Amino acid sequence: MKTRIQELRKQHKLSQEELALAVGVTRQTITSLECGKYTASLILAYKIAKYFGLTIEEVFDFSEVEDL
Amino acid sequence: MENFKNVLKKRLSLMVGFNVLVTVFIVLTGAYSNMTASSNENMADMIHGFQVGIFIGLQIIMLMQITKYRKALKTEDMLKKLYIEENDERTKLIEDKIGGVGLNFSLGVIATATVVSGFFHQLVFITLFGVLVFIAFLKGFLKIYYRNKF
Repeated sequence: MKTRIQELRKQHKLSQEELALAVGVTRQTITSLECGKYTASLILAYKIAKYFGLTIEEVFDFSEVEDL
Repeated sequence: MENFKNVLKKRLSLMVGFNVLVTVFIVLTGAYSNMTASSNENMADMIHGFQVGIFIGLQIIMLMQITKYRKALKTEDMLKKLYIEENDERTKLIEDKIGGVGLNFSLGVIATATVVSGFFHQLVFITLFGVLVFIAFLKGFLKIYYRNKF
């Protein structure tokens, strides 16, 4: 799934490690999310969106799911 | 985090107890090494080596875990890092996949080996058949358990 995590992280001048620590996952999970290799759980998606002060739809691209 | 701290403390005491138990097993396998189920001296040595090796391996893993937990209990930062490491959702997913795929793969390989061994050796066939039945029942039991749980 495509996400805006990398873009938002850079806007906020955050490292992957800092974001990972803030949302309670490992740095590797953030890397996988940014690469689109891993889809976050609802709870993690909520935590990331909340951290950036956005809604889940503003961070995660659901267009692939809508096509199903 | 306080709950996790208590969990780590419990794990530490269990591991220390387990380590003592394993040491006793190592001493016992050494004392009763002449009782291994083989008349062939080389095979008996190999069996004894495996028994001691598996216990020493377990002890090394336990000691590494004990060191890791003790370090984590010293500072809040280390504790949080360990908590994240243990509860990371991607890591859990990977472990679940390994368990699921690994079990199916093992079933396939053992089923094939059971069929092939039937042409060569009765005892090997029965042993592999027993293992196959056990894994199949385990898989069935886990399927029922998790279907009811979720």
